[in-house]
Amino acid sequence: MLSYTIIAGLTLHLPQVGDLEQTSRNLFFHVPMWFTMYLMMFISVVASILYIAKEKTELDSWAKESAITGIAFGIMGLLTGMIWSRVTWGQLLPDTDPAAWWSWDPKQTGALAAIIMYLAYFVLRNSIQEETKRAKLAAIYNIFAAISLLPLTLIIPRILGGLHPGGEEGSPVFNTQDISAHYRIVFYPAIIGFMCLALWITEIRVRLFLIHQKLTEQDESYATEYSNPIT
Amino acid sequence: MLLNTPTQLPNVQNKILFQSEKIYTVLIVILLIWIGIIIQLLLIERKLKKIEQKYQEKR
Repeated sequence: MLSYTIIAGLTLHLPQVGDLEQTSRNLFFHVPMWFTMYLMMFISVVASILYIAKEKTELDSWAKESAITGIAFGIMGLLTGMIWSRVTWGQLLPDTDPAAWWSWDPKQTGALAAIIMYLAYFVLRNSIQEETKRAKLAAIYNIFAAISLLPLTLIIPRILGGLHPGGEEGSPVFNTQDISAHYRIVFYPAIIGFMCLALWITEIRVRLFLIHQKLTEQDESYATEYSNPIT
Repeated sequence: MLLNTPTQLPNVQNKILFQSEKIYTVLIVILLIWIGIIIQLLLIERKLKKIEQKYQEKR
């Protein structure tokens, strides 16, 4: 699906949209980054809620690893957006002007704030040594972070408007009037493809973490057994 | 006089990002995503290496 996205995304004949020229193809690469980030943050918060209820280490691991993948896709979304905005919103400005790269658009700023908020989740995790306490506090923080994600990246930008499409007029992604069928045949597979990739990466990370934890536990039980002469 | 005022900077069209109907912008975007995915794979590789070391130590 991703191979199809890259090949069709670069070669398909697309109707021109305003002065975007060929950059309208970025729709297939920049926007799925955000969809993927939302999915990963959703998985992360569901895992956190389940952890609070069941207290299984595996769930905490899913929450952590999903957030890591989500942040990675969020950062890629920010960087690709900066490059795209350079040739659209900032095309009349020189390279040396920071406004050519960063417009402080409500959605852009909200996305940056959301990523910083999730980075704080890892600062919190790293600041607590005790495993259960760390997992519980991180889970609670994660729920608040997920709740804040929606107003920061969806509700406030829609109220304030701004440079991104999808302000007051509604979502351009799901509005059939805004994206032609030419774009849809690449755009939707792109979203599914990047989401599957992120899920795969996260699942591998969780599996590795669990193996690492099992090996550490075995080490500890071995050390305890031979350090206690009574047993 | 107003009619002669340029609406774009004169050197703007010569920049890579603006060449060939801005197609290089799309290529740079794809490259950034590739780099991001490769970084994630390298992090997984590092994690795997740690586990392999731990396993070797146990043996």
